[in-house]
Amino acid sequence: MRYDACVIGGDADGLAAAATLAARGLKVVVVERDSHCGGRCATREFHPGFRASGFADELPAIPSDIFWSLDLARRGALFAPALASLAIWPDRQSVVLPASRPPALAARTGALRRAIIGRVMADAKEPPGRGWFKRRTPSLPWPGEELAGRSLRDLLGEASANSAAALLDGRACDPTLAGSALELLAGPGGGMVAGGLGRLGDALRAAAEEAGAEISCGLEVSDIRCKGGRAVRVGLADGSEIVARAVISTLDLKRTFLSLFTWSTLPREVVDRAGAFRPAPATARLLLALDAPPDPPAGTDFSALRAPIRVAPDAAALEAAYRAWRGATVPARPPAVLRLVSAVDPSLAPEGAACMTVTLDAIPHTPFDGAWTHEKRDKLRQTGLAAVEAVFPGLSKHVLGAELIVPPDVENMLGATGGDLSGGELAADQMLGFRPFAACRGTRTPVEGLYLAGPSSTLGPLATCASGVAAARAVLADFAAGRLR
Amino acid sequence: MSEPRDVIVIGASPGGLVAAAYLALAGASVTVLEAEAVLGGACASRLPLGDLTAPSGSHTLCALDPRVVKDLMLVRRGLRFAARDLTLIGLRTDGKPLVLGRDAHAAARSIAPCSARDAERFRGFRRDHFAFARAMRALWWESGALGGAAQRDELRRLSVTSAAAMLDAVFESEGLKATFAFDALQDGISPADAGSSLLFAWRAAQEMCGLQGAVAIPRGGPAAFVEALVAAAQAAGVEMRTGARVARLLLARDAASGAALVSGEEIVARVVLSSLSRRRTLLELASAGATGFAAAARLRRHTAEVGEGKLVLALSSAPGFAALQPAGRFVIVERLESCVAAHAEARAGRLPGELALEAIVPTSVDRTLAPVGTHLLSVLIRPLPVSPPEGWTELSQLVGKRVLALLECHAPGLSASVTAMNFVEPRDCDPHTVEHTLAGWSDRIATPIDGLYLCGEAAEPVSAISGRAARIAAAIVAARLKGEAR
Repeated sequence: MRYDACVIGGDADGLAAAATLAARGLKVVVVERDSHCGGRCATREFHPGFRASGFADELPAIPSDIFWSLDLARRGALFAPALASLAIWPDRQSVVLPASRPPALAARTGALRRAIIGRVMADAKEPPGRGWFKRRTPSLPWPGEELAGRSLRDLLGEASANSAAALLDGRACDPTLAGSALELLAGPGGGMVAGGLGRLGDALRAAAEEAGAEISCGLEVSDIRCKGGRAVRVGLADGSEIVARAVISTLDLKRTFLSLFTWSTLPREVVDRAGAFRPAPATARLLLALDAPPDPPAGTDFSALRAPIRVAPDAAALEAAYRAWRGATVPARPPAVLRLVSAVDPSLAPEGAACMTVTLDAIPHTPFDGAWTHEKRDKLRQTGLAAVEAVFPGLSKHVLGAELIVPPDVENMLGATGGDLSGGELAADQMLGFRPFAACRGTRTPVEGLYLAGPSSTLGPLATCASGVAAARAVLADFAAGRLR
Repeated sequence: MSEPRDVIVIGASPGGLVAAAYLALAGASVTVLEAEAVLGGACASRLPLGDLTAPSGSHTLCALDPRVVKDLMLVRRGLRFAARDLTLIGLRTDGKPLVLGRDAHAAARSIAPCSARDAERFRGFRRDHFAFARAMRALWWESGALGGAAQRDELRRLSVTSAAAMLDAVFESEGLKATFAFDALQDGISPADAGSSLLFAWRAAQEMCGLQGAVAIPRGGPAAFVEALVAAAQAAGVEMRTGARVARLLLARDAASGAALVSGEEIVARVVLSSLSRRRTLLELASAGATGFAAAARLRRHTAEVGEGKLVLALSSAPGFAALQPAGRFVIVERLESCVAAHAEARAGRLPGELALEAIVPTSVDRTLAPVGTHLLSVLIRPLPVSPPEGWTELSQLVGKRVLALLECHAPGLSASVTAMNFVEPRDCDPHTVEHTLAGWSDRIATPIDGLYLCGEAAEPVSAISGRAARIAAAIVAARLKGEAR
């Protein structure tokens, strides 16, 4: 089959790219390995009658222009407004955190994020010069680069270091390290989607299909075939192939270049960069089916249950967990975010029952003493339940069923290398203009005709759908200029 | 009131003496005010060690500026080196030590048993770093600008890359990575800090600096170096006053105009140079109003949390590892990851679980430092918390015990030969960041107060007794004095 563009991976970014391209009249196919598309945006039944999103409850916000141009609201992706969240410190004192960041900080990070998205979108119009991937730094300064030398604690002051930790949405990092301020750029939660993230996936799929994109699920890409240094065909695991003038990959950097290509066909710099790209701490998820909703923690009312509850978000706990992760150890007290998802969206659990997700950060993909075993999974499940017990004493007795998803499961289900959904550590040398390649312009890669959207691209950790749209715009610009045959 | 001077220099540390000598040679009337009874600051102060004494500061000079040696004629005034270019040696519990000296081929050979791949990559790594460091000299040794676009690109890349990421990308042997990281990273900058890889280039620049290499031991100890500097300053006509503690700066129309001593005496000068830290100079000697309230608040808030401690031991016999290479710096650190973790713990005010240290045996190259049959062992421990909550008095005992246990692993029988030991706790100095290393000389030397300049370690990119900051500060001040005279 011949297509104008082939999108590898039916995640939010891939579907947004397909919708954007198809809306301009191109013949587009989305190839998804799983039996349904959506990637992270998937909600499923994990216990009879109980549904939850397996990989995340919230994604970084979708830029509003993309949200409205894809008409996602009409297609059923309704976001519940973000609520004040509750943070429980290790000494069991709880603090209610405002829904948004402190206004000055929110304005600053928001403006930077918009400037970065604008830069990538503008870059999509024009390809970089020849041999650009040999350069090791971007040619122009990027918005937000001034944060690269700052630490979170330095930026926010000692007193607010703990609430800063809570601002990170439970991501583990060392807030004293220079460069940790960049963590603030990674998007804040876009809010919960009514009906689970699967609704967002469905809405994006509907947008792509209505625009005329073809979506083939259950097809696994085995390799990308090049001719004259240009990606021309996508080989599938069943032996067939798709001929496409442009290929957009939404897989992460390592998977795209190290497993879909013969290394010898790639420039050496690309293989080196992909090999040295460092992963971010991965998360584990515990999905709990409860026979009754819990009582709100002492000193709060029922509205607290609608918001995320962060356990142990103080700076020291985050740092200790991060440290443990670097040593490939499961942290004793990983940063945990509890969400009673059925309080926001009653459709996820049967009448009178409740559904809770526990997100544990800084969980190693492969612990130092070997792969995940049943015993290790059991131990992690107990760790998750202990975090729940710390907030809701006695709740473990109400658990009807539980499912634990550890990083290797995420890797198997989503194809994310190391189970890391953020596509690479948010360090200064892997962010902004350095992500994924220095001097990269608008999601183009060193292989002509191949575009990299998804988590490892500049916009991946900043906003949902934005990198897909940027890749689509780069493809359109290259078509218009006759650069793609 | 004494007669007005052109310049007063607060503190007779090596930096203060170098700046004073340069300015006097340029024709200015200069007075050095030293609070203590002896000149030389930490280099001259003596730490009791049983029957012996040892300098409380560093035993070594770090990349001494060759131009200072030449311009102040320090060799004629008695400066000799007992050992130059001390070889970096990584001691391993699990195999042969890594000897990472100037001979790149020998270094590669000593790496090969650990990892053949690292040995192969070492030469390329070293070549790239030295090439870049050579380009950086204009920026780091003079107040020049960086040359080509390629270097500017490399500088930008390094200034966002952490040392851990850079080393991980090149090498696989943990011991090698950790030894390099320990050697290059000072001033409480963690190997995981963005931009810390830049300090490798700085280290390479230091190694290329003149004959004495990165780290050298002056004959007769640092006190002999101070003597040479004092002789140079005296010959240039500098007035040196000991026991003259400065109480506060004098200000006239928001500019520094002299200093008032604790005794009440006031000395008027056109320019004031301070060899103290930025914090001490601006917070203790000047008022917040003169510094600027925001700047003063920032200085007060940012304190150094991580520093290095020094343990000096008197031994009845030389430690076993000294036989490996008399002029060696023996680094004991197991893994890069433990280095990163140690910084995090020290920043949180805790004693690191795994201590990293560098040991030198000055007596193996300079027999004048101790009587025959006794040896000095100077151990640098970093990172350590500057102000742990439990205080240093008790903690220093613990550090001593743990350091001895660690040394014992590499030099069996060492504990039995210890006759005396003393611990110097981490100094409270300026907190350093990568930005400080990157800033231009004029930014590091100038202060918010007009007519007040820094010339000590605080103005160096990475703290070291090199005299470079003092020479450049003196040039800036001399140009100013000349401009005023016109």
